[in-house]
Amino acid sequence: MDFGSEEAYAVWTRLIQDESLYAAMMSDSLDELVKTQGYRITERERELLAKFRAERGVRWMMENLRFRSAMQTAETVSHRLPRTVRLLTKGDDDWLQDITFEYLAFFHWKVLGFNTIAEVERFGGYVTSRVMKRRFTPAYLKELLAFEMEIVRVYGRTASIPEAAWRPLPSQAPSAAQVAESRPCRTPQVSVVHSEVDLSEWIRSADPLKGKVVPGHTAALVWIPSPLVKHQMQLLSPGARLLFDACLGRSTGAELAKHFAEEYGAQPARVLELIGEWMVKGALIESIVSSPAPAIGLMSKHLSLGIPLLTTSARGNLQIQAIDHQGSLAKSGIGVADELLKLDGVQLRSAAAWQDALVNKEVGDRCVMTIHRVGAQLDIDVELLPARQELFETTDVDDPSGSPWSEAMKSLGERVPKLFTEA
Amino acid sequence: MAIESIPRAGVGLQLNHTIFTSTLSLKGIQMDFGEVLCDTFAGPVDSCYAIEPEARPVIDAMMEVLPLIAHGNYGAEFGFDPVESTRAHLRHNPVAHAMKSPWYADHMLFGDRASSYMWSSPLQFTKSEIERVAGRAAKLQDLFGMPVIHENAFYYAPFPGSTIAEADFISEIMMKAGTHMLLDLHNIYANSVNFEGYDAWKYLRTIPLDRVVEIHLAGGEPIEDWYHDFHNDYVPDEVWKMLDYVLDRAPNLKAVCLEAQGARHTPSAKQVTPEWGKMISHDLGKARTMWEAKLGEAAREGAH
Repeated sequence: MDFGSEEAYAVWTRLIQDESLYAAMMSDSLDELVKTQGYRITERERELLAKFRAERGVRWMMENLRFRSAMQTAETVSHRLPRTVRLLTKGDDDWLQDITFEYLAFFHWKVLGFNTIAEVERFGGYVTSRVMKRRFTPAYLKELLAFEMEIVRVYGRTASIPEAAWRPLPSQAPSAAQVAESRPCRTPQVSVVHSEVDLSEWIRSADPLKGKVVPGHTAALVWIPSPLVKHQMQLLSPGARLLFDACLGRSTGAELAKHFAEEYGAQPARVLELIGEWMVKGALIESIVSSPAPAIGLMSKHLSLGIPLLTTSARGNLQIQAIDHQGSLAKSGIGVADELLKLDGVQLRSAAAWQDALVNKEVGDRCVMTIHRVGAQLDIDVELLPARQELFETTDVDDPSGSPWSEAMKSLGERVPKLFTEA
Repeated sequence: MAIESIPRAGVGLQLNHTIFTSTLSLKGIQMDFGEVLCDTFAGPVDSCYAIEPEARPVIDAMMEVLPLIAHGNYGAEFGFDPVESTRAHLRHNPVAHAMKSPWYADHMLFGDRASSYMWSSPLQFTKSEIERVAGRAAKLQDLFGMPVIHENAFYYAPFPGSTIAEADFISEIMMKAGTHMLLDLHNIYANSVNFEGYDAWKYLRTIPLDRVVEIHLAGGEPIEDWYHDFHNDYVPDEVWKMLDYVLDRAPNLKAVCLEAQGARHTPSAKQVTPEWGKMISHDLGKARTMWEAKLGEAAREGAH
């Protein structure tokens, strides 16, 4: 029989992706495979399989392919999830090779190759759904993986941005007056990544085998300013995060500054400065179309209460998802997972209701928060502390990646000029 | 630019993953160019990055010290997806241009999204495949806007359905497509060791040597029942003889490149040792001596 290349390649691909078929071919037991497992193999496929079988080198074709695939995938995930990989494998490359080999086998060797973002996303899902279920894994691996995966997704979103849509970065920071008039809006290639624990030491060091995770909250602004540079990262204090979230292209800088001054005690100049910084760095742009946006300042009147994240519990109550440990509530003993039920005896079931309840409160006032915690209802005395300006701070992080390839790439740039002369 | 007008590059080394990440000293090694694997610097296909952002300054730094030549490992040029959608065009093309390469070299292998399949998937040597591959090669050359040269493959098995000799296959493709060749002498040698009836010298007599633009040299390793093209040993004597033969007969030859690489295909292969520095130095030196002896003053007309 004559076989076209596409037909022959299809059978080869099937062999790669079906370990049982390959094993049966190599052990001359295709008939048994058909009989016992209901495999369907056409006459033409049988003949092609026989031709592969007849070549003594085919085992090298297959074995090398699997080894190579696992190695390349290991390099990919090391590059894109460097901290996760390091924590998962304690820096053992052989262990990583093992994991990626099993990962690819699980997906029938359907390697996604240089669709790197898709491969990494799939791998992240595999770690969550398989690896974490079959053995003990280090503490906070889940949080770290979620954090790094979000960075990967920012990269993935850039694929749909046409080249012409990338706006050039401003050559200098806009003046406060310019920011005040603008309607800042986030760019598509930006994300606020948050975690319910404080990962900042691991983020900065890129080495989760050193440093520790502490109770707290991490909010990091991650964005890609242009297709010529890697992602940028900035750790955000709660106030900075709320401000960034509020930049939706609807409010002007002046309106935002006023609101954050009134609601959170922020200095207007600092608000405008932050917005200007984000604009010049490419995380925000000036919106040319005003879009509807949810009301800002959902969480509380006073940021000093320190609740950057609220959610709704199964009972339908407001539940704290993250908390500022220097804020009023935390200092009073209220923490993550506590459900907020009443304020001064008045039941409150929405963020807006809390907002209304706090509207007449001032710094220094005391109130009683009724909370639900682990099956019990508690009344907690809370003093409203002054707003901290530290809550509007940001910290630039030169995300070192930490992957061996990134390190090699970094040092190569320095090494190349003396590549042939160094000792 | 026509091949004839491209200046000779000389004798160089493939700057691959091993060279980048090992601590091998290359002190005192003289090379006229670095052959760079585009895959090393290409960005993910599913992102906006044609070139990895961290790689850009590295490319610039390398270009400061020596000319670069682009080589694609995982371009999937000759698979069944449209040429415009292959990694070769989407990613290797911009990388090759960023490094101002005089040509782009691909591999005579099937390819698809699962690019790691490529090394294990040599093309099927048939008449109909010549037509298909030559069409793709010509299209690829148009898209690149620079000469495209094809590397002959080392393989563990000829692909089922193959009916003609490999040398005839690749020769006809080049003639039809107007493309040229990266003649990997060690691949031919290794195939001749492993396959009865595969005659390396007949291969060299068959291919149009005036289409050879670049030569690859390497050493390999016997493991179990096979001699593997693992780029992890000294260049064998037979390959030096083949080089000597080709140097006399390839008027458009521009570059001779040595490949040295750690274990990338099997855990059984030899690992890099500090001795490799000596091996690379020896083989590059020998290649240079032969190159200069054959070509005289014209040997390095494009030298940096």
